Amino acid sequence: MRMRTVRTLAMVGALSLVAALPATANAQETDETAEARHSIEDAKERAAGAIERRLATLDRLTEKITSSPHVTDEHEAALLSDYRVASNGLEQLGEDIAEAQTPEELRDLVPLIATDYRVYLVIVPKSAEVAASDHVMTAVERSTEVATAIDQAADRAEAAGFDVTQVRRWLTSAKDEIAEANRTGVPVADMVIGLDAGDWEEPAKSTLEDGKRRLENARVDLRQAHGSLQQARQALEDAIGS
Amino acid sequence: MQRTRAAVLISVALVAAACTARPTTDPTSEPAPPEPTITETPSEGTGLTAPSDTSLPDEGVTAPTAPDIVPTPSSEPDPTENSSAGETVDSETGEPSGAGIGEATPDSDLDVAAIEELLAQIDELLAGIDADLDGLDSDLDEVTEGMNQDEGDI
Repeated sequence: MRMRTVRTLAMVGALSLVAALPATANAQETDETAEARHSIEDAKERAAGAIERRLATLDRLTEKITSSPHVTDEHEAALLSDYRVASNGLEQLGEDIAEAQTPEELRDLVPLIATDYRVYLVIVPKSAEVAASDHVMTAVERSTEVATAIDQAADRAEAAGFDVTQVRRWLTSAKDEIAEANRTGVPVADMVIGLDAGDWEEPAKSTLEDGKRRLENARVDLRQAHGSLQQARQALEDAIGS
Repeated sequence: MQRTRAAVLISVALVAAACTARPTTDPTSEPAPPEPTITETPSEGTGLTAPSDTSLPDEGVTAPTAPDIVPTPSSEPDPTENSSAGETVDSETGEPSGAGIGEATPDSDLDVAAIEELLAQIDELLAGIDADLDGLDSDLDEVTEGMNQDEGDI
């Protein structure tokens, strides 16, 4: 009797263990799945935020380029086309990421947000350089216009018998500086406007750095030209004694 | 008849008296009076000798008088020349057509006014360039900012 009782208890215990094992396993699986799903959702959320920031940046660039009085029509059209391509691609990529089911899919898709579009490494700096370069062109044109106006006024003063030697000297300096700004700064837009994500890291990086240096030099030349034009204007006023 | 004879005698007498009163030498052969030479003291420190033509006319010698000027077509004022400053003027409009450098005259007031007007226009253009350069500074700040960006962690 005693022996039977012991066997029965042992059997019950064993059966209980067997019955309890699947429940434990199921609970553990549920936790892992939830964690994985949570991780996937997190990744999707971060990706969506990254895409949203880039779309907002492209909207800001569109606004800047279309409202700029300096950017040429040709350059504006090229940049807006770049922005549209990037926006459409990013929106499609966002949909693909939202539909992803596995971490592996996400690991393939999410990096494309940066590598396929290079919004911050290529599109933003090249847009800024195109705008600045076209701005240099406008400043060169206006400076040339002022130099011409002073030249004509000096011609008139000279014909009236005034000594305009100093005016001519300052004008020569101004024209040299304007020409230098034109040579260094104006070509930058066409140098960089064709760069795309596939050009990163080279030649995009070195081309953009070269463009930046050229634009900074052009700014210095234009500032000097502006000073020379002011001196020429003052020399003309001094010459006529007004 | 007697009156006629008396008149002839008087005339003869007068002629004879006149001939007696004339000088016996030709005035043109008269020796010139001695011309005192005056050497002017050279200017102080210059070491230059004063011009030598310092002879003074003797008293009693009448200085030659200037001949009467008879106007001729060539001495009439040139209608294309402004007598006040030698500035040439347009023969049709009378406007100054320019003068040598440094010979500006009151006649150039019109030019000065026109140039001052041009200067005012130039000032406006220069102000426009100034604004352009400020805008360019802003654009270049964006270039610098853009060059410092990266794609970030995603």
